[in-house]
Amino acid sequence: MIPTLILNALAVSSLYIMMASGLALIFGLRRVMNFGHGAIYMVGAYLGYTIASGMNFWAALVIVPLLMSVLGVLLELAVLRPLERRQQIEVALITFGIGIVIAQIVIRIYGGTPLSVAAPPLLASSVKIFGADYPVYRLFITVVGLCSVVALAVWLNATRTGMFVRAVSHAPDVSSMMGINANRLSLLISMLSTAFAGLAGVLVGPYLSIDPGMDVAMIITCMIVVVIGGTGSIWGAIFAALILGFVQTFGTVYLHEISVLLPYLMLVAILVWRPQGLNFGGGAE
Amino acid sequence: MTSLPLSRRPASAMHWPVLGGAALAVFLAGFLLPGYLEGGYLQSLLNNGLITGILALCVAFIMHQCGFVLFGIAAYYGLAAYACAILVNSFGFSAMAAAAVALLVTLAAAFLVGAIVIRVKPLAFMMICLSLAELMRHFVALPSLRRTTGGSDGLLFMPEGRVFGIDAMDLLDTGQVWPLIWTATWVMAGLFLIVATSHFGVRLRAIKENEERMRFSGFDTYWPRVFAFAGVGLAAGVAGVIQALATGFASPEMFSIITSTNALLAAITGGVSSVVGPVMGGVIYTWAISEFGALGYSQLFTGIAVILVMLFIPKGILHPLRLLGRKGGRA
Repeated sequence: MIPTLILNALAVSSLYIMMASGLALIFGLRRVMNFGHGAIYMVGAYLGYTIASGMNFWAALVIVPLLMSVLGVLLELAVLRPLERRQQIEVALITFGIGIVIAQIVIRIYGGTPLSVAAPPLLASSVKIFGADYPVYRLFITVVGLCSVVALAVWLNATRTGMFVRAVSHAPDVSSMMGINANRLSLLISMLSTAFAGLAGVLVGPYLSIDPGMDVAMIITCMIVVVIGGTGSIWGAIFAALILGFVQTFGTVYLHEISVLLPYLMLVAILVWRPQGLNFGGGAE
Repeated sequence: MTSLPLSRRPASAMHWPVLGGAALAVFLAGFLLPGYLEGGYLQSLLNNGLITGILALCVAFIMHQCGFVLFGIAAYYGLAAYACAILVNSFGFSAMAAAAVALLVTLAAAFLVGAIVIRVKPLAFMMICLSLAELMRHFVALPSLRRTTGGSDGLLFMPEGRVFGIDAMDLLDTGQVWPLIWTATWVMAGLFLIVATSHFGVRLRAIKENEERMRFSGFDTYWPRVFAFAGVGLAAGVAGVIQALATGFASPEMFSIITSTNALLAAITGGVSSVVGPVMGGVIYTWAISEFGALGYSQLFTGIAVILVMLFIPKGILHPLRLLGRKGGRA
């Protein structure tokens, strides 16, 4: 029972990590909280549904993140860059409005009924882990999630571009004086962020269902993760996503329906303890 | 319509009696309205519009006085409505007692939340307030509380007794509840105006301008804002209780993001430094949403409205006009 739960928690956490790290990256560079992130995830999930049913799941897994990174270019060029000098909260609300519009367009196209995607045949089976059958697909989510985090960590810490990203997040003025092109980095980060959201959307299809409320549910979860982790702290967000995944999964089993409230209670508890969130690993602001 | 500024502005001595007289005339004339509208669509639209207007006043107050964007006002609005409904249904309270206790509960909740959220940064404040409204939406929909809260279907209740001299059953009539809503809107607007121009309001705005300076000058910067937050929660609770009494119903939708967004839109469009603007904004958005809602586009409308308002008039619809006026005056 417990090993199964841990694996489930890791699968959920992986999705949260992919979402929250993207949010934290954009925030680090642009100081913008993208409230439309949930809607981008929703688009990813629905596009994934279309491509998976038209072609196959593997194609969706490759094509959707690519398409979503194009959306990231749009986000950067049409929203973040022109609004660079606007107040943080104004831009946050604009992205929220864009999120509502995107979600409504998706609902117009696909209708309001929940959809489901079948896992690809290769991953549809289950394996025996510690004596219990466990679906391979969930392991796959965890592996993809963990690989993306490791890749992100290596990129941020071992490459030159990654160093620039950290530098701009840490001290935007100084790094621009040193000749770092923040706009170009921001474009890259926006693409990465939306691509991650798209990937999470495709992955979630066969695991949970795809429904019209998924954008709001995800953006609220992401906000809780980001606030708990300390706004703009990537490692804080990743750690918070991990905790939240575990709390939710174990809560569902041991506390039943109260588990819906757990993320919120956790948020309140952590803020009473530390108003700035966990915020380790050099968060922005 | 002239906007009554929340912050103290130099006004000629002649101005106030005229404005006051006009306001009194409008207030009194408002009571005649149900006679002309005879219930119907327009009356219910105005009722809902003013309720949204009160919520918008709350958002505007916190924004103008404390510099926070209160993106979860629905939490206190819905909490008061549910508390009122539950007290009537499960505890057999009379309408008036239920309303009073519900407001106390809301005040206490807002105070506790305020004590936590005032300490965080503005962006986190916005996200936490929104999350708390979602928490409430999930909480009332819990299946095991179904007997108390009605689950996701919402909670019907039949209040008894009198509310300020009006029989609680009559309040379900859109025309009969109007005097209550109309008076409440005026009282709330008046209270917000008085608080804003008082010493307390000045202190709040001074904290907003520069918290550190206020702290160094020996002022407490924490509790005034917690009290302001609690007061605003209470005001939203008034709107919630009235809405519950007017419909005999409390629903999880009262906690939705869309409720909070519309209040925020009404506040920003109307101008957060005014008390007339947010109320007018509430009425106009309620009308617009009902028009677009008939076509099934109400959320799309809200989304587009958020984008346009934040892009073009983040300081309210009157702000560009004022700027133009000022430039013209100088030239």
